[in-house]
Amino acid sequence: MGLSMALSNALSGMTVGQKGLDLLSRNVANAGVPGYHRQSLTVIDTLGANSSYVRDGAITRAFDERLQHYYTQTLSESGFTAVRTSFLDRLQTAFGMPGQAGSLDTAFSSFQSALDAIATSPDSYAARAQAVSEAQSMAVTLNNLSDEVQTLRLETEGKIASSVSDLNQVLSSLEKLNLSLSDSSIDLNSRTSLLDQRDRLVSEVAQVLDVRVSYRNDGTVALMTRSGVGLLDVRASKLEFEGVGTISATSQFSGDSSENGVGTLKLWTSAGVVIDVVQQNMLRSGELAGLIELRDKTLVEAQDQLDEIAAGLALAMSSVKVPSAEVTVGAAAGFEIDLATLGSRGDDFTLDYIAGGISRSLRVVNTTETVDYTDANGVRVVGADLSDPAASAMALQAVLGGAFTVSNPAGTTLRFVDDGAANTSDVKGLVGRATATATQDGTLALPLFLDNGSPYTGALEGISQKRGFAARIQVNPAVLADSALMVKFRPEGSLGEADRAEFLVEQLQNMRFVAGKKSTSGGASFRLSGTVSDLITQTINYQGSVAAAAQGAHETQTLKMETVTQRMDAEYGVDVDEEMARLMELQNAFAANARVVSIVQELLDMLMRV
Amino acid sequence: MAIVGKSMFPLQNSIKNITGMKARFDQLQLQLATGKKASSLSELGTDRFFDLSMRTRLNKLESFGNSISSVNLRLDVLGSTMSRLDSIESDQRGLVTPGGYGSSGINLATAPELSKARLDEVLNLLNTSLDGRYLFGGSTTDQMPVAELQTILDGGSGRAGFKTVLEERTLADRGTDGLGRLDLAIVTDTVSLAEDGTHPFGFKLAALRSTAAGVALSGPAGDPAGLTVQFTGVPAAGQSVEISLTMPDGTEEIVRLSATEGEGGPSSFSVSGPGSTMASAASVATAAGPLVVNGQSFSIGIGDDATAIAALINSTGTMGVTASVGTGVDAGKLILTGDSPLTDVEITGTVAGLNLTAGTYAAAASPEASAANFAAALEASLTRLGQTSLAAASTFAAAENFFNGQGEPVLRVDGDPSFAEATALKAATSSDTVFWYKGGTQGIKAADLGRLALGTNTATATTTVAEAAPVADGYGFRIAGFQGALTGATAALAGTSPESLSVAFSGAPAAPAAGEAFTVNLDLPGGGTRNVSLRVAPGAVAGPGEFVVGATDAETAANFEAALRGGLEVAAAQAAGSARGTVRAQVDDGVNVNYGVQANENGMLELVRTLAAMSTTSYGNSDETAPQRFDAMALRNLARLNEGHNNEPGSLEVIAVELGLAQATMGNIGERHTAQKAQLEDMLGDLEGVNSEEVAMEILALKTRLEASYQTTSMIAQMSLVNYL
Repeated sequence: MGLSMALSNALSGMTVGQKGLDLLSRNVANAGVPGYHRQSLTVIDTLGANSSYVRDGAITRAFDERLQHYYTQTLSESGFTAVRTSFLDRLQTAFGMPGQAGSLDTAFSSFQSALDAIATSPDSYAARAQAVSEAQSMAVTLNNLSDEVQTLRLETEGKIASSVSDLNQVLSSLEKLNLSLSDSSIDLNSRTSLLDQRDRLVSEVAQVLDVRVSYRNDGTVALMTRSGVGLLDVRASKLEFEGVGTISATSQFSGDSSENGVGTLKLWTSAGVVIDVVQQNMLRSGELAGLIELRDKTLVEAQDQLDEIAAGLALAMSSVKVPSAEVTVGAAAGFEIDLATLGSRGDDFTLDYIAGGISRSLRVVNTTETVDYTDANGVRVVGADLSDPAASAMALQAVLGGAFTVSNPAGTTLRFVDDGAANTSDVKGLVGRATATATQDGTLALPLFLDNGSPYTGALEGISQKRGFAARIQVNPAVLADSALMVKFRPEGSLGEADRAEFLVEQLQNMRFVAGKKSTSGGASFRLSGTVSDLITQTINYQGSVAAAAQGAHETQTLKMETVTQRMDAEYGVDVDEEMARLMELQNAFAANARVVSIVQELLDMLMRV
Repeated sequence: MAIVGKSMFPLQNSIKNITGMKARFDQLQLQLATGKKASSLSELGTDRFFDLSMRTRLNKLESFGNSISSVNLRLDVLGSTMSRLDSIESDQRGLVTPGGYGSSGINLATAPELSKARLDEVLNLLNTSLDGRYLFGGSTTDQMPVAELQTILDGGSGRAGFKTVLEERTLADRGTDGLGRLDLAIVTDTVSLAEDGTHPFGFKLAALRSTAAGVALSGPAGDPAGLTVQFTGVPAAGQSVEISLTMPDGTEEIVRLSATEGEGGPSSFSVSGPGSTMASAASVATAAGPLVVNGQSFSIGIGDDATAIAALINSTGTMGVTASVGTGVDAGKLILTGDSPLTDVEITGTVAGLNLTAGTYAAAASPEASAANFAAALEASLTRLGQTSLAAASTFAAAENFFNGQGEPVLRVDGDPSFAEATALKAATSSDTVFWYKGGTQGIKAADLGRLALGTNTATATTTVAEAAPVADGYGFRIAGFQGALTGATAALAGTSPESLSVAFSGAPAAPAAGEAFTVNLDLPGGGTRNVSLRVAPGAVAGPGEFVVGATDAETAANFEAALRGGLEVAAAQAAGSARGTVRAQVDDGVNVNYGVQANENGMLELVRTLAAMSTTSYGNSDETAPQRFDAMALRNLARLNEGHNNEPGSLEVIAVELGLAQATMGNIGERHTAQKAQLEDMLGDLEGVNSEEVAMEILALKTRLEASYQTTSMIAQMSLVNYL
């Protein structure tokens, strides 16, 4: 009681003030340091036996778990959109602006104009040479774009590898940090900085992977992917990426390791289980998910579209219409076609028929593969090995059913007739499409574009010939050597005959293609269809809109990120003004306490002098 | 690591805004510099699709524009060439007219040379090339469509030219005895005249008429055709017999022989005794008397025969007249031939028992004598005609053979055993004959049903369709077969090259039933087939592709022929197409202009044929037949270059009009394209371009905002409590 109590109270106030200053100085010093969380001091007012003094409680670090979760999630999504945007931006740059030199549509337009010019002046050497060189630049443009796409895919692999090694380091750092945090004997001050470090590391992980973070009471964290696989729980899991050296259009991801042509990403969990991350579709967001999606979907799709264009271009030049003959067998009427004319794999014929009052179409492709689907135009497409007419007849009989008779009357003839008198069915037409393989056999079609020196027929055997064709498409060397082949479709013909050039122009204008695959990365389902020019327009438009969509998504994420950052700034950041105000407060308190001490001192002196 | 994770908490929002504005500033600057709104595909946004489709269309319009301008140039050149050809045609028409010999017959001398010069010019015009492209070869634009003048006329490298072909044809038409491949015979009172075989050469007997009494006519009939004139009485003076002859070029000449009393003015004449035939009896004078030839008098003694008189005349030998004794049918006749011109031979005086005739015959009391005189006069006329009209006709026929038109092969006389006795034409090959035209041509000519001949034999009720001889690869339809059966009719194929198909209707009353069909399969020269289907009409009226069953087989056959002809005409017209269609240019979506011209189209062809014929015929001063030959040639020259042909397909005028139409169409389309292009470019500018005023304004506004932001940011940044402590 008395002076000594006042003195001790004042002293406790000064101690707390000092601690406060210490903290304040730390806040001010760290203002602006990324990941630094504002700290504050809890002051406890203690009632002693005969006094009431203050003492410092715990140092509180500003932290909001919900905000942190939101931040982590936003970070993953930003990582996802950022990587997509940067890759797709490069892809759209490769495609070029409409009308720009070297862009796909310019190359095609020039090619078409050159063909038009030959049709008007087939005898002009300059016109023919121009057309051949335009055809070549068209092929080269496709080759380059295809290369660009595959280069981008290869880069995604490199990026995945470096991300994975960074990630592994971060995870093992976090593992060590967890150990330190769980040690309760650690100094309180260093503990806060460990927590700052922890949050930094977690955000680094979140940027790469989409993680769910569990904050434990002792300050340690457990990480698992949003799909529910544990990444860190006391012990860290390890990611392993085994890349491939080269990537081409034909190397694609497959769950079957024998067919997989791209790098594999595996996760070794702390429990020793190995999970194929891509196959299990473990990643939903984050940089890694973005890279994998680019590698296995978006860029593959871009390649597919280029392949469609290349295939359309080659087929438009080389397709020969094979006529069928009308035939009647008793009361039954129908058509027959000579299969010997459809000798290349990938050649096909289309049968138009009426069954049960409904008009239908059936396209039969020459292949040994099993094919049976309905294309975008509602045409049923089936495969049959047309080199074996008898077996084809049997297989197609099964497809068409009893209302029709499919037979192989002799040789390589395949005959379709309706049910005659019963009149429930009707065969309306039959037309074949074969691929010209010779340059001068009297057919107007010209195998202008080759697949690595061999004709492009659209064969489906093994890996479809279409896959990666854009990378391999080249102008027929025979045409390069002799541009007269653009015009002379028979050796004895005249250079003045425009028939071939007119045929090619018309094919480009009228021949329509339907892509077998849908593209979905732009959101709405989309399938290329139409003339070669349409395919190109649609592809450029599609790639532009995919890039735009990715940019849009990234901008949204950036905005979101900014909002979160502002919130975090408000929550965790150091406001220097506030700290200064508090400094004055502390200064005053300290001065007041010091004053109390000095007064007590004076009083005690006076007491001693008495 | 990417920037996303490195967010600095304290980074002021205002700074972010400033960087945003700065980025926009850069973008605006770029827009101002490039004049383009967007610099990447994604920035184009929804305009991307329109941009691409407009560019596609613009590019197409540009292509069309290029086509139009190059085709326009070609049409300009074609137009001027065509008008030059037309003026050559009219010049040539004016140059050679019947009777227009010019003063002192100058035209006789100059016409061939002038024609040749014109032919040269025409050939050069037909070889007009523009930028290495020959315009008159249809789709064969890479080689000269027609050969050069020298080669065409004289041949070369072992190949025959026009002159050789002409020579052969002249021989074939004239025959060994100069009678135009006709055999003349006389048996007592009957004169018979017959073609010497079935072949396309020489005179063809077309008709026989008479106003004379005492003459019995028969024919022309048979194959080869023949006719007879039998004298049963004595024709009165002035009464005549007419024989119509068809010439090798299709024209017709009439030989008219009038009965006279006494003598005529001969170019050649015959002498014969009364009551005796020239061939059998000794031709002797029954009384002595003077015979005056060209003023020179000869005394003829009783018993002198033709040989003695000829020897007497020839021994004098000063009158420009040569006497000879006829052989063959003319045995025993005295023939006087003037040197030149023959008309100068003047004969006066009468020797008893001898009748002197020329171009006319003496109607003697006895039919035999009349017949003999008639035959002699006929022979003289035929010989004369053979030297004039037939020669001209032969020249033009040779021109038709050599200068082949559309769907026609080059033909030559098959000189086996000799040209004068030739019986057939053969298709020339490129190794033995110069082909004047090497451009693209149609394999079928619509006018001749694609080298098919159609006919009906009424007697046997058989309709026959046959390939024209000689069959030539690449020209005309070939009969491939037939399908279907008609009740009571038998169809049969015969021969190989040429092949024919005959349908004999012999089934009445089992006539073809309504609805029955018959199809003739034809092969096209360039590959491909064409079918002509006929059906039996259900009623009495035949629709297209139908024929009516008549009351008799012959009637049915005639109806069948008419229907088949209709079908073949359509098939031939379709297969022939138009030369214009051989060269096309697409000038708009779905619009093609056709501007092909082939040098062997009718207009050019007739001009070349006529000029070639005119330039290879010369008219010597000493040639007594020259004026007549000139007239015969001039008549044909006129007929072929007549303005009356102007409306026929392929004439110079029709071609010029068709080309003009194409040019007009193209002009209109071109104008439309120009307008459309301007519009599209405007729209594209709106899509892609940026309004520089707008950008400038925005830059200005942005600058103000940015400066204000900098100012306030720096002010706010300085306002810290730290400064006031």
